[in-house]
Amino acid sequence: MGEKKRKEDEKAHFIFERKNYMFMLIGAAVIALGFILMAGGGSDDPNVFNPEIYSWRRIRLAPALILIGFGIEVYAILLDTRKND
Amino acid sequence: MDALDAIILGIIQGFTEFLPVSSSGHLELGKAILGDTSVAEESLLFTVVLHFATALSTIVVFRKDIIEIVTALFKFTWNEETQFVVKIIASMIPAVVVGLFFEEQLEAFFGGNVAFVGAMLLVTAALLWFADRAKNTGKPVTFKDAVIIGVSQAVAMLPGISRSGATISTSVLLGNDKSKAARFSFLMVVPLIFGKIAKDLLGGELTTETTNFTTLGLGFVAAFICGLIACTWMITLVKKSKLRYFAIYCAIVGVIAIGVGLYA
Repeated sequence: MGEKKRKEDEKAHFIFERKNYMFMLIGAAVIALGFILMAGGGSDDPNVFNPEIYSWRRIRLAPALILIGFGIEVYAILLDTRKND
Repeated sequence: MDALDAIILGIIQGFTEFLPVSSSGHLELGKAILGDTSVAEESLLFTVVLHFATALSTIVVFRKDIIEIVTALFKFTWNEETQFVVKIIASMIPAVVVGLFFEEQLEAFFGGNVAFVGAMLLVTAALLWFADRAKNTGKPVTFKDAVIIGVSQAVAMLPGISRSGATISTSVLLGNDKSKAARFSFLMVVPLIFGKIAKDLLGGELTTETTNFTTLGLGFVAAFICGLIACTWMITLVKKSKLRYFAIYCAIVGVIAIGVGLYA
């Protein structure tokens, strides 16, 4: 009985629940995808400009994904799972 | 930028976002002492990531408060939390106006004028000193207070004026409860940080060409952990009226900076 209470107390000390961590991982994955899409596009020759570095994918889609990922991270922190208990 | 630079920059960002010492003022002094080129210029993406880390640490520290505010906000009644959100929005207006319309004029103050930075550090020191000695504190933040605190936040865009120091001191000097002043100061900046992050991210100037993701991650972790420590520490310092130590520090650095600026 005492052991059960101790385990419950230990559990109560965690700020986040499993669901919070799940959303944190999803957010991290979306941010990582944004960074991957942003990568590349540079010129191999420093004297030659490669317009690909400013393509729609790199300056619109990728930053938007990173921003969405940041938003998911905030949601993951604020997600209050205990209110459903 | 190597891993050590990233961790150091993360630690500096994490602490100076919350502790009342003016990060921009110290950066200006650092540039003047070491020479412009020897101070590492971090990339825009790195700056975005560090700001995100400190914003997240604020959200973690005030998690319960934010959940309560958001929950109450969606009840669509004129309750205390809704009023708090309106006060936060009101407090943001001066900084948004200065940031959007007076950016060029503001940048003119970042030209390495050491004596000016020193004078502004003395202003920060005076604010902290008087706030620490304030006795009649206990009233909640009113709408009028929120606008005045917002003006102090806009003034704190000058190098040498600490944002957290100026807003908390102004709030306490207006008679607000010390812990509520700290809470208001740290929560009022979160929407501004996210606005700035969104502006930088969607501005089309970010590139990962020169970015090392390991250093980016190390910087994030350092800023996040130091942000958590500094935010909780600062709340305790304000509650226990221990801001005078920062006032003394700012005064010493300010006097030295004025001396160096005028006579060196």
